[in-house]
Amino acid sequence: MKSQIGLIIAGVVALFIFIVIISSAFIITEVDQAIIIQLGRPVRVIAGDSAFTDKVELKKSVEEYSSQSNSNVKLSFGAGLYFKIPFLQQIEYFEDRILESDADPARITTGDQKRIVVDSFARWHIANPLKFRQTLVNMPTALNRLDNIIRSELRNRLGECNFIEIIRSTNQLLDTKIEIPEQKKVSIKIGRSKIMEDVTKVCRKTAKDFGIYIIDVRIKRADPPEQNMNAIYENMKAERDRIAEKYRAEGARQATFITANTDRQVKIMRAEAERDAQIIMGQADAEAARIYARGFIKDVTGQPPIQIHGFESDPEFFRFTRSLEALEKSIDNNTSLILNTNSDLLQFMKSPMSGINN
Amino acid sequence: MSDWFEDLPIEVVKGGKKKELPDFKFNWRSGGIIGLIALFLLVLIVFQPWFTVGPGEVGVVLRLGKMNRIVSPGFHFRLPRPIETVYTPNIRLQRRVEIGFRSNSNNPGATSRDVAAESIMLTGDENIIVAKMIIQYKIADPAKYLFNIYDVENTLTDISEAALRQVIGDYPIESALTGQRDQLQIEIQKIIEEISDQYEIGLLIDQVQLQETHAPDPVEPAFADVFNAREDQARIEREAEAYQNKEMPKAEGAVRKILQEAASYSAERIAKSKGEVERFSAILKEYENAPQVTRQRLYLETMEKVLANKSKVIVDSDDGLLKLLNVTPNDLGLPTSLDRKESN
Repeated sequence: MKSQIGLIIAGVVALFIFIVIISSAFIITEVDQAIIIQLGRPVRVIAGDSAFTDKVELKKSVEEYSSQSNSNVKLSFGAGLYFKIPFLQQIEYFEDRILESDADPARITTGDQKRIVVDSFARWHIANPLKFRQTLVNMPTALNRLDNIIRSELRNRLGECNFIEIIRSTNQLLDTKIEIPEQKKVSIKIGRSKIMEDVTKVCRKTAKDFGIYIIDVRIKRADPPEQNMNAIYENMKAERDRIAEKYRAEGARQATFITANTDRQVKIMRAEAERDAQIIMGQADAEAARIYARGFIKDVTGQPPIQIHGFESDPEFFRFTRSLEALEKSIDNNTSLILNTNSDLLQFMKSPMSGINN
Repeated sequence: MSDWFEDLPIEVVKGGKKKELPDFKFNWRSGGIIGLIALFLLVLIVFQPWFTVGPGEVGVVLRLGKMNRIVSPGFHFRLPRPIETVYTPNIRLQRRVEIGFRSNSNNPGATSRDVAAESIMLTGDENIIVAKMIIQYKIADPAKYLFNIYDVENTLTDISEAALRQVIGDYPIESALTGQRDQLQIEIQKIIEEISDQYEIGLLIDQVQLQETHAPDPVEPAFADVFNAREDQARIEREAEAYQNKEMPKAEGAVRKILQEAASYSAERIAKSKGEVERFSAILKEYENAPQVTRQRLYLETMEKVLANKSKVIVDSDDGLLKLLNVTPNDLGLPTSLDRKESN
């Protein structure tokens, strides 16, 4: 019986030691950060190994807290096995991953008095768990606070900007070959990317006091409100109609140009041809006249060239033969002739012996 | 029932202490070995110090919460559970995020559901366009994927939506509708990759696909009309070109004809002149040999030809002509030569 009681006591002690060890050891994984709280006061900070944690600054901040609160808060980094005093100390876990903040869309009036609905999101990281725990306590409060910070900064910044600055990021629209109405060819000075950078910087600075590092704030949507859509649709329709009209007019213009050009070219070609033809014929006429007057050299292959005489070689005889020819041509079958017997031709009709006596 | 419950433990305790103790001593060795084996198996089953990594997966092992090793597919040992934990993400799996619509993942053939809030956006020239997009990605760095971001898929969706709108907002509507979709895709992918790198999200963006981009329904007809107008323009221009293609060869033909006519006129004119001159030259030679007779002969031959088969009035003496004209000035063609002769 004695040994049995001893065994039981030994077992209970062993169990107690086991429970103490189990409850004092804890694991921080790669996705966690933690603070160990002893009687409501932080005694140890286990920060993550994230690239978004500034270790030097965190160390300074923890030391500062230690001196202010007259305590000794320890700081360690990274995942692993850690121990605490059981029952006396509690662990509070915090995310070491990048977290999202996606607030409800906000109605904002831009610098040029246009109303838009802006939906933004932010990605953030708990960079200083101690400060985070002190100022915000838990996640819902943190998200709420972040919403307020981001929303108010967006409102400030976008309220200063013209609508088009929020839509576009660069001026490359101005260089495009696509035709855009002149009034829309506005040069932007800031642009969405830059606005988002500015908003991120300001929010990051504000959120730092809460132990939060804001990685970026981004505008997801920036659209006109529903009730303004119809006006935009009307504008779009008018613009399309104008473009369609322009295409058709351009087609007609081009067609007229081609047709007129064709007609002109055809006219020129014909005129030039007529001119060339006249020149050719004129040259031929001249050549013919020369041949008529002076003859030509007949050069038949296989025979010696012969000089053929033109009309000029005997103008009187030419006049005679040509007159006869003309006479023959000018009198046709319908011509009635009245002949006098005194004429040379008919002189023998009356006196067959004439001429001989002479 | 309640009796049976109350009685049973008492019997077991009574019997066990007095009778089975010697048996237990007797079987100590063999029983111990069996017990040890059983204990060992129990430990194995409870702690499971092994794991398998499937094809396409990698095993990411955390030891005491800290990244320890990454193992490839196959069978692996590990330390029992509280000491080592294992994640096995699939790094070969092609994953996708859809912007502006959600396809039915259970039934790929079914029509997808539109998400208008995501797909309706402003372009750089203040028009509104409907644009949808698919992003295909894989896990590139399993450790980053598991431990850096709270909700990877949602984060990628946010990034993609912001990138899509930023790029669409930088271009005129025409670019997104037709011409420069490739360029837009490249720019969107660049922005997604930049932000992903900034977050160290551990993903590889395989492809950004702009799906359908079209004008919103209320203005669709106006956009269609622009398309038609462009077709009209092309058609009108084609017609003019057809006219040109028809008229130019025609004119060329006319030109050729004119020139050919001129050429043939020339040839004819010269040939004719040569012929006439040759004839003249031949007659001249004859004439020079016998001028008197040749002259006479030519004259008479011509007159013979001229007077043959023609109505003639032969008037004797010069005053006969005057008489004739007085009598019948309008009837010169009548065969009255006999009468006239008689009257003379």
